[in-house]
Amino acid sequence: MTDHFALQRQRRAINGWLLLAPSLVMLSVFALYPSVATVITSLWSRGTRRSPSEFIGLENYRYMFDDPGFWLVVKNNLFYAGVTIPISIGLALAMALWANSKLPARGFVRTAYFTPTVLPMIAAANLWLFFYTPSFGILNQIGAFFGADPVNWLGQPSTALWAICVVTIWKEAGFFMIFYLAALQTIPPDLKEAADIEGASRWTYTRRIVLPLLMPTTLFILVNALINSVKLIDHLFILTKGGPSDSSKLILYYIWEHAFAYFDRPTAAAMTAMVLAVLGVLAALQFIVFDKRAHYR
Amino acid sequence: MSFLSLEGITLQWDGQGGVRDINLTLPKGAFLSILGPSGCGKSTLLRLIAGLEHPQAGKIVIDGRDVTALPPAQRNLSMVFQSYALFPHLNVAENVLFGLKVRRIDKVERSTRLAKVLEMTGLTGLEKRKPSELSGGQRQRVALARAAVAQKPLCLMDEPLSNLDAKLRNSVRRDIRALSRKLGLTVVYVTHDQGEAMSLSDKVILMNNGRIEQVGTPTELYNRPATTFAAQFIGEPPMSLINGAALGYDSGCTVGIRPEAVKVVPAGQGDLDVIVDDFEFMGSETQLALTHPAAQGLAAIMNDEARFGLGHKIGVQLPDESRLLFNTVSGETEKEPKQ
Repeated sequence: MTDHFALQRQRRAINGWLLLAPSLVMLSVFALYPSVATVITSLWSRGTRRSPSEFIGLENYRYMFDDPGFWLVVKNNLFYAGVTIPISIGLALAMALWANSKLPARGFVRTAYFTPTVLPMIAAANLWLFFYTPSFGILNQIGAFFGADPVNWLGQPSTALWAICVVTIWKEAGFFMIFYLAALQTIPPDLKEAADIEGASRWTYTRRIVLPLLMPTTLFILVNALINSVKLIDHLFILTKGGPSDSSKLILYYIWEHAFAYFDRPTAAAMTAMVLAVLGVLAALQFIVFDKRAHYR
Repeated sequence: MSFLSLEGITLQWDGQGGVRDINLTLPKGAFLSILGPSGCGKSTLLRLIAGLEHPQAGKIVIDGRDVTALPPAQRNLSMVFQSYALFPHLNVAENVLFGLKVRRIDKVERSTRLAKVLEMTGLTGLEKRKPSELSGGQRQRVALARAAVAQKPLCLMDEPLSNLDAKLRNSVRRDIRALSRKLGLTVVYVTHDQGEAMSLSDKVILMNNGRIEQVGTPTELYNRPATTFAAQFIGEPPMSLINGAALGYDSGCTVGIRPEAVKVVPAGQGDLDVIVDDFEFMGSETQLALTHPAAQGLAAIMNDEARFGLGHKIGVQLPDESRLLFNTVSGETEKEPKQ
């Protein structure tokens, strides 16, 4: 009897591991191992043929904190996040509320809003490169029509980062709108009717009923937007390459430069580890703070 | 003096569904039920009164004021929804007080009213619970409390008990009745359950296919159905219909009779000889389902426990004073029972 039970238990364990195996393998190879390898690399010096790499502890991190270039890209990235996150979420919400109301061409409006999301970032950047081109780009042509002087949006430090932000907002707002739209459609219409009978205005209904019910979606979008503000840098390669004079350089681009342009892998690894840690803490904080205020059904 | 009146209310979608030419008056403090099978337009009628839909023709007057074109909030009424329509992120107290806050009623008044309605609906102590933490019956009570706290003279209820189980339904039904009496509310109550309509109301509207089939007190509807539809909708089991020719009447008429008036006698001694199709023992009585080629839904109720074999032939006596005559073609009553 005991043998039988032992065998059964064993078989169940094997079944469990088999079911677990695919994700375990994928996650280990593509997420777990690179993360650990990154942290390890960041603790070793850059090796050359003459001086092989050696363990130097937190030396790479000290170098990173002493590097003014690093602080510049951190500042740029904070600005980038501070501008793109609230604006794209606000726009997404406004568009969703509008696209959810009874419109004559509702399907068209939704599709139009969603189109930028379908476009690859590289293609979008090429499109915007054409908009931004000095003198004969669309923006300057419109400006010229109203008598404004041509502006080199991407070519001067004062406007380059703003121009990058606009592309990101344009790209992301439609994507976030889809989430809001889906959430809005789960709100039963009789809540609106009940509020109508109580005499609540459209604004009161939106503020007191709709926004709180959208809170879980907002939280989800916020985390995504935050990650994207670090991750989404494809357009930098097309539009500015971080210039002019590093004014539009973001952290990930800087890391890429270190790893693949200067072949300084340990420094890149140190910065990557840093970014991972900060993002992890931020996401955890968001969940803890907002969870108390978000209502999950 | 009528408190609520509808004149020629019509709302149809592409010429079908909805309601057609509804006329109705209701005195203050009355309890009106709108009864009918699903799809007969009873919920549409309620939504029209509430202002959630607007009629294509006709006029709605509430308390002497023409409200046909007014939005729901200005009609001075409250409503209980079938799905309760509670705000899921707000707790019981916030749900009940939502409307009072919107109307900026001061805090002291709000808390006295809240305490009063929670006590009336038996929800005291649950103020801080979210709707998801309440049972179905409690949610329904919150919806009632939200309607009661508004202190509006007219309260509309859209099948408020249909999501509750049978036992709960009876207790909430009593609560609704008690609440409406205590507050002196005029209530319009939509239901497909004739038991609810009969037991709660002062007045019942029976609807069919977007039209009013009959208006009257529950007794009138039960004793003097105006049409064969009313006869067959009301009563459990409903009225039996027998082709007039089988009982020696003109063949253009149909005879209706309530099962409790049908007397069972040995075969050959009654007005008709019928076959026992089925019987159900209900405790205080036994219901017999009977078949006869000329009869539709023929049934009898017996108080003793007499049992017959299935397929057994028995006779039934249909007392003259309990018979109702309908016109077979139009379905309307031709002759009322002799009292």
